Amino acid sequence: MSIDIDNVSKQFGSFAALSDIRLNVPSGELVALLGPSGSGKTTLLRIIAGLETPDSGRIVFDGTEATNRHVRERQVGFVFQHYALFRHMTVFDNIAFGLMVKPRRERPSRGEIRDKVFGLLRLIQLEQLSDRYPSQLSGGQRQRVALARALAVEPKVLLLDEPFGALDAKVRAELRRWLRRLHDEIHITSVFVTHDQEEALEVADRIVVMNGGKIEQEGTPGEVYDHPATPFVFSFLGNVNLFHGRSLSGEAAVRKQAATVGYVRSHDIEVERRRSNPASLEAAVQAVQTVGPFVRVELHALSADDVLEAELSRDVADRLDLRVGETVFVRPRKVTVFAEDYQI
Amino acid sequence: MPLLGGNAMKHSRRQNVIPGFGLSLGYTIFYLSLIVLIPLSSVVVKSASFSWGTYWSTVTAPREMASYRLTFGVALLAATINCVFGVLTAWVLARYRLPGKRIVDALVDLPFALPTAVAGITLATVYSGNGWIGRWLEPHGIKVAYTPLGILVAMTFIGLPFVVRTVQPVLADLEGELEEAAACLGANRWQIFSRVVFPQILPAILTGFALAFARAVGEYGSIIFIAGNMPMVSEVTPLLIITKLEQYDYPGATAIATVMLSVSFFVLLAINLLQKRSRRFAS
Amino acid sequence: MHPGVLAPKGRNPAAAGQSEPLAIRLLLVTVVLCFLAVFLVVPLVSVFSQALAKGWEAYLASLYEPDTRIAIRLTLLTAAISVPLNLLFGIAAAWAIAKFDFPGKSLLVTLIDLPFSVSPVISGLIYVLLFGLQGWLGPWLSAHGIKIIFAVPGIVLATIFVTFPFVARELIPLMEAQGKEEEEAALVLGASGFTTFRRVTLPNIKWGLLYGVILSNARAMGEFGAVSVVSGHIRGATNTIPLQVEILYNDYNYAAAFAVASLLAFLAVVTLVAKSFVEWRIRENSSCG
Repeated sequence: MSIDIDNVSKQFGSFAALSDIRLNVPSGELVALLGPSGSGKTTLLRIIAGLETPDSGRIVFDGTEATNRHVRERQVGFVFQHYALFRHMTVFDNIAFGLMVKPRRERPSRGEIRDKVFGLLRLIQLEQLSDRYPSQLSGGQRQRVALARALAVEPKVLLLDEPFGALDAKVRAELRRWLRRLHDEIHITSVFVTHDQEEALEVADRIVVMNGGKIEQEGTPGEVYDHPATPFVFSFLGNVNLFHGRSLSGEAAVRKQAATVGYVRSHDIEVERRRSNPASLEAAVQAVQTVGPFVRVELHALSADDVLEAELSRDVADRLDLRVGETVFVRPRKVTVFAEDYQI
Repeated sequence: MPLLGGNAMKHSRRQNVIPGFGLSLGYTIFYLSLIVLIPLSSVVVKSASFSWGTYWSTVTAPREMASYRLTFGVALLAATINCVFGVLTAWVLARYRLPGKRIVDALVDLPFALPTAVAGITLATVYSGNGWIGRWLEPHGIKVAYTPLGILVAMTFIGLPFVVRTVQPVLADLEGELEEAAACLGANRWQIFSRVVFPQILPAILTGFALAFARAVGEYGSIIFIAGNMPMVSEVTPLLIITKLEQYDYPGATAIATVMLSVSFFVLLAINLLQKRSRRFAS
Repeated sequence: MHPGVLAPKGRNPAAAGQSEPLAIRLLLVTVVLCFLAVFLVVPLVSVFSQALAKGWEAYLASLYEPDTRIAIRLTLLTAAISVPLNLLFGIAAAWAIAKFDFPGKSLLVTLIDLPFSVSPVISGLIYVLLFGLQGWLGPWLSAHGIKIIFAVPGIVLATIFVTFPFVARELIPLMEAQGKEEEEAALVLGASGFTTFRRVTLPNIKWGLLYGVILSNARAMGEFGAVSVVSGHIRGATNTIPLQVEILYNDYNYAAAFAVASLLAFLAVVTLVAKSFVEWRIRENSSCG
């Protein structure tokens, strides 16, 4: 089912949580709403679910207006940030809940419910734990039960609020891949909220970057990462170095009033021992730190008084053998320049 | 105006998908008004019909003044005693391992659970000249039952759980690390208590004090049996209200009630302010 | 006594500076236990001892007195009316306050607690001012032959007033702490409002609910001051158990007074045991939730 969000705005007191959001989620896609806290992403998700009502604008499911449809009738699956599992029910009863509360004539028989729940338990690989209580499960297991519970009612849309937020790094990575595989199997239109750019880049078909109640950019992970539309998107999706106007054009400096700023990713900075290009800048090495697979070098661009951070692969760093205090030459491989009115 | 009202209603309903707001709040306000607000306002309305002169002379008559002095004075004393022993009890219950602690812990609530009339006749009997405790005190010239001292005993009894129950959870939640940090910085046990622990439990102690005081001031059942009820000597204010009522002096009873209600109002206000203060530290 | 018995909880007693010396600990514990023994244990034991002072036969006979039996019946009736009404109110108030945001919420919470800070005598007085012969509605009521003051309805009303906040003040913090995500989850899964309440909210608050009911019942059966003002002390008609205790005591019928009082003292002990049990359940529930 496709979702159309049409000019949706939402105000909490004097705080504009969402202003004039327009977004289309095509059927069967897995979309990430990415942004810092307070960007409105959770509010938007709750409006799609029907847990909040927009002040203005419309929510359209498959061409049918759903703005005033009650949350009960929207047929959405919602996975809460803290799972909201019913603590007094077993895993089985939690997953069966949505089926058990159906009106008598729509409710499947006990046997059917049982089969369905065990099918889902197999899917989430927790068949042995059907009679455990939520408090007896690990965080990752609770997360999967919450997902199975949402899927049990065969929703048209799956909505997940920070689905991996409360998990430790290793479980997070596993569940991320598992969610991606699951989506590839069942192809349900899904929207998830996250503040973790890595998570969005790895899992989603499309990413919607939000900030201050507005959409900054939407596109495939490749598009938003390689062609960020705004400085915000650029800096939110990875490390950023700012090259001010005069350093951009090298020693033949444009003066300070030239406000042009170039955005360069840390891994797009080349460090050399001798000047190979007239645009290269002279810089002093301030710190060298090996961080797992790469080496982080802190540099001070002498002419422009900019502090830069370069990420070098281990073999490049080994070859250069940089020492603190040395003078080297740096050159951005790829610079992104935004129109002047876009400032962070 | 109806348009505005309609919008406001619609708005508040739309904020939240959980059903039942109108019904539950409506019933809450209806029942609260019926049982509490309207009956309580009858005191205010009734007293508004007095002239200031009569009102003042009623509430400041010598017998009334003697009862205020007795009631508020002894209640303050009882609340103070409860602070000392309440903090000690809370400390022992929160910090030490004791055999049968669960029983001791449950027993602290006895004054909440034991009906005041039962407490009254029992205390009067136990502290009378030939009672279990009274017989040990009388030879030393200490008369408890039927004297103001008896009122102190009754007020201490009924106020006992308040300080314990407000301080105990705060003590239990206190981070051990704070005390360990103080110990590492060289503080001794007494310094740790007076400089680190005490300031943190002080708001709870004061709240417990205020609650115990308010309860003692209004108490009737457990006091009248042990007090002796001599006008000007051992007659508490709630008893004075009853006496006036029995003489069908409704205006007099109401006037004294307004004095007591204003005292409870200020105590309530003080408790609210205290709790706001302690919440400020909590975050 | 084994030195470990008085050891501070959960810490290494040997660690310097982190606990009091044994002598101080012993002193504190002794002082506290003596204080509690004198103020709580002695009176409690004395109730039962006085009640049985004239033997079991006299004890049982005084409980079979017709006036006493009527008092017991009236007390049970009063509790049976006031507790469920306050239970219903407590649930409604906690639902509105814990699950929704609205202006004036903290004022509402303060007003709900109000009956706790009002003297029991005044709690009775307000109904006399409202329904008594000289009261607002008194003339109208007597013209229509309705008796509230010095009759059973007045006793029930005064009891409802003094037990008003018990259930609500247990449930409000409990439901606030539980938040509303579970209810939202149930609604998203298609449950109706009533089903959500019955199958999701109620199981989560049942122990808190029971706790409030236990306290509320103890107070309802034991209330003296407020009931005394509105009852009129008509023997065999408007006396509850506590009032019957007073009458017997003032008649110098001490053994009978303590026999009847022992019923209430027994109720208090049962209340304390039930309360400890429920507190333990609530702790268990919240520690694994």
